[in-house]
Amino acid sequence: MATTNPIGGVFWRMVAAELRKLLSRASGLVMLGISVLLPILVFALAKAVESGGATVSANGQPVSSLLTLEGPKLLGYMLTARNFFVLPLFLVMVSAQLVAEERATFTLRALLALPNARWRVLLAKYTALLCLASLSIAGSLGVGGPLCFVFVEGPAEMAAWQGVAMGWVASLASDAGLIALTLLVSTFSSSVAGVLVGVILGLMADLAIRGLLKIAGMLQLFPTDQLAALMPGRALAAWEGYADGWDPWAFVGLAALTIGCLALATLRFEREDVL
Amino acid sequence: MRMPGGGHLGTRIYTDLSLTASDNGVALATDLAISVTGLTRRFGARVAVQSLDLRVPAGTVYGFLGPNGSGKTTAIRCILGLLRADAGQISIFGESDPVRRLDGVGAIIETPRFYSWLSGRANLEICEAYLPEHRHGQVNEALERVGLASRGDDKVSGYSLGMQQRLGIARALLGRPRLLVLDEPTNGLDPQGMRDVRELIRRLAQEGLTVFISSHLLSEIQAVADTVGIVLKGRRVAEGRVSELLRASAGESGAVEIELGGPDLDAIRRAATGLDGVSVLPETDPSRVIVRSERLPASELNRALVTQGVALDALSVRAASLESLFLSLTESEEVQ
Repeated sequence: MATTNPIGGVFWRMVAAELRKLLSRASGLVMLGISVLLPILVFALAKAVESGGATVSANGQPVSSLLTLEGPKLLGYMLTARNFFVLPLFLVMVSAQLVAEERATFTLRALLALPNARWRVLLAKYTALLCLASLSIAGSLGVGGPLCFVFVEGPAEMAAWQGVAMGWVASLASDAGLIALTLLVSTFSSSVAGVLVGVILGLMADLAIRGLLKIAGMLQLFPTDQLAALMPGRALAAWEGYADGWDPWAFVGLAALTIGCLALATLRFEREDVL
Repeated sequence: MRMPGGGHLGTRIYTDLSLTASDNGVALATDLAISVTGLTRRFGARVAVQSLDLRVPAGTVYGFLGPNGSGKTTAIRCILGLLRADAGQISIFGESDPVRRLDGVGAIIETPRFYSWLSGRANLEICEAYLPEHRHGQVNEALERVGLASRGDDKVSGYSLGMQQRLGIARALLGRPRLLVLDEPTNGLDPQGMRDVRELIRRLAQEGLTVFISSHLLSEIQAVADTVGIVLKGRRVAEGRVSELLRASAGESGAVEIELGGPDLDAIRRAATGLDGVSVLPETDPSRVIVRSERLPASELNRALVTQGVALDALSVRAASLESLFLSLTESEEVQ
């Protein structure tokens, strides 16, 4: 019986099946395509600015004078581009498709009528989404890394490369948190749009609360820095530490967010009535 | 086969389901493919299923009947663990653990749905990945059994409704299940498709599979089922072998159902109601009056009606059917 080994061979077959669904859909393929194209776009843009081909200015200064084109820096820009809005949005969308959409289209019903504990089904979906996020990061890094290493001149110390590499690793941890948050929201909604709106509204509320915390901190009402670092929005941006300096509290927040969301999503999924 | 209480228990009819080897007449838990005891499920204030008991003997085709909204699908979803029961026990082949009891169960719940952008084969492979390892390797066989082997690599979005229904049956057959739970499996099928499904069910039953089939098409059920359970308003009102239930429904006196036609159906109804041992059944065909005669044979009924001056232009004795049993039970329940 499969349940004797909770994450044995059948579990990985379940993960592979979920990944197959993800990689056979336009949304999954477009996400991977963007992951690969984005570093090329950033590289081309940076090169254009550097060569003076672009006349873009900011605050009255040409952008080329603000831009330092070193390999690690450029790889950092690529990381920022990867984690800015579009790909996280795709990640939320494909995560919602695996749970909310499958519930709405009644395909989830067939899976849940098979001899598997529901938490295994949810964990298989989560693991498959993590694999997709890893592929996305590997795609970006696989294209962006060589571009930065081979084609960008200038001094670059090994420590700088290590720092930005850690940023990419931390990015996967942030993706893990975002997927967990999305799966939790997906247990409340049966539409991808509903989940997208739910996650975005949630993060906007988080931003507002962090603003209030900042004001409270300025007024010295109570110590707010660590609390703000634990908030989901800040935790999901823990990868930014590669440039600003790592904040351990952000990673504590990220771990708490990931585990908490997964635990709550599992509880809800286990108790859910499937129509 | 014994009839507890002489067949009728008020409006409820039960026959002993000790269909398998049990000398003392009491079905053992292991003889039962499905055993449901006291199943209750509420949705807010509405009780969808109330203290439902079902005993599905292993190796039989069990028809699960009830009008729309009677709680059939809710009960099936509880059996399959898709809905939580508020009360009651469910076991499948003696196993009551909600996950383990589903090992060896294939199911179609209402209209089967698929990942439309994938092929039929890919859909089955994805489902198979969720089965225990010893139940793998059946995709081709399942496609062949439902006649989809040549279309298995086509995308499901190009399948007709009937093909999707057959693919649903193929999915239920993955892993060589011991029990098939089919909720309205002929939905959307043309007459040929319905016949194919009926024949497939017969073949599967001959191979020793237990088939639990829910349908509102009573003639379909009568054609394939050995045993039926009838639910009304979430409660079981009858359960037993089809032949026994029909005999019980007809009663010891051998009551018959007679279909009458004539220029004035109201006059026929009035006259028939006044006859001793004759009752008019609920209307199913506006051009006919169906009566149930406990004592009078058709010839005597004809004579009695003509004597009262009622003109008849058609009279035929109907074979006992699940439909008439079902309608009489429904009527009794509504009267109550």
